[in-house]
Amino acid sequence: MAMVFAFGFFIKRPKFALMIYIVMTIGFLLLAIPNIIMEANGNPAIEKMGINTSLGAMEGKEIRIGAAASGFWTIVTTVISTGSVNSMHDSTMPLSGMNELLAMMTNSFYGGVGVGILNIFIYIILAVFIAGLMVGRTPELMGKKIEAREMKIAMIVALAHPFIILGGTALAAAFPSFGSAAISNPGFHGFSQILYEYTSSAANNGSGFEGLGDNTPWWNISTGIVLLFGRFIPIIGPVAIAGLLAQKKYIPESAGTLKTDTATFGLMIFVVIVIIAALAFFPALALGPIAEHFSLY
Amino acid sequence: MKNNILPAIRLTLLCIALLVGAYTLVVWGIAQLTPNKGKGKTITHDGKTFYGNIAQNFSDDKYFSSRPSAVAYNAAGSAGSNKSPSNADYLAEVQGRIDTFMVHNPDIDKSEIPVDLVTASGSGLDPHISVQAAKVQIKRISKIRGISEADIQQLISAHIEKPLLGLFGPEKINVLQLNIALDNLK
Repeated sequence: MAMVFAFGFFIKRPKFALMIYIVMTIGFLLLAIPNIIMEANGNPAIEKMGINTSLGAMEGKEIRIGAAASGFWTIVTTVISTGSVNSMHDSTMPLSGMNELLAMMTNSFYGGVGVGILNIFIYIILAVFIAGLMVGRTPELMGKKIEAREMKIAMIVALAHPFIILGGTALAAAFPSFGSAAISNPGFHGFSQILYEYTSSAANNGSGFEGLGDNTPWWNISTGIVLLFGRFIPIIGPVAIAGLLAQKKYIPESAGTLKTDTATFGLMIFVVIVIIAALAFFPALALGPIAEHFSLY
Repeated sequence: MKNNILPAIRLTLLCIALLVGAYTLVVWGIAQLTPNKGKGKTITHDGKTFYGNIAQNFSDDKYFSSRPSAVAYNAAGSAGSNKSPSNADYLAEVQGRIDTFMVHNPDIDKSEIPVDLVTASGSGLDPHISVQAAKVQIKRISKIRGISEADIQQLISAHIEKPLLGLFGPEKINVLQLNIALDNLK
């Protein structure tokens, strides 16, 4: 979080940093608030048994922490790469599980250890390009033109994340001896367990749907590969872009420049994150948490 | 080459000294200031020592029971059940716990059972139960021990722990402390 403001201080554009910070915070709250509500409401299948579920979904949670605070931490720990848990994510409500997955899939609301705020910069570059083309202005970021080569790198980085997660999940799901042999819950949730494991590796998070029996050579090696790509591609790509931009001539801002520190541009970044990160994963999420949600309610 | 490697080695050595040596010492030093020198809060009762924040199994009906544990209260293998909310086996297990509870507590209504008494905690070692979970066991314990319900009610009220800063989590009761107080009541 502090990095965002440090960035604004060093490039002398605090308003730009504030805009990024607001985008991150809105994204964080959009994930955290539903989780708090869903965990505090409890499991409808247990409520049907006629007992008092006013404490919320207590499976896998401690009394001293409570359902609401546990739900809040599920998102804090997944938006940043903490990986620590104070409740078992495997036993959270299906859509809470989806929000945990989304937090790691976007991997840019506040950003995590290691990669930090690099991920949101990829989205900013994409947003500059898309917004620039939409209004017919030259895509520029801080006085530097964004051209085809930078865009190519940005797209590779942005698409590598879904590719390694979904690729790994698809492989594990395709071979029952690796995938479905390890899951501990039947049906849709088993698929969520596999998806969560690869998402957590790619986002360098470390938390898991821990029912998955993942201490086997297949899981250790495949998630290790995903982890390496998930960590180093988002570092190499932006450094390459920075190198390319540094070589370019500085163009002073003019009336033709797209303003990057406005609310409109913030919304644009948000839309790009939703389109790229969320929609790329939507089919997989529909098979896992969303399907489980509708089977439960 | 030489210019790069020497500072790198020096930085590595410095980090080892700081993070392996100094940091560990600081943590250990802070632990020495806490009660029982960082080895966990213990409670001594009847000449036996218990860890106050590790749940135990109170299967006897004359004691307040703890929350169910997915690891049979094994403090060396803390874990949750990791069952998904829609898992049919898991829901059958919860139903089984409700039925067992009803057998042991025939005088209460099913809607009085709080959810924490029939779901396993994340660690399997949750030392607390909710206030409602203690209240729902009053009738059974009062009958077995022959103590009036009002006395037990008073005991429970005295053992309610407020949430941290009045904000985080529900009110809770430490099962072990409550049971020791219950034994001392006679």
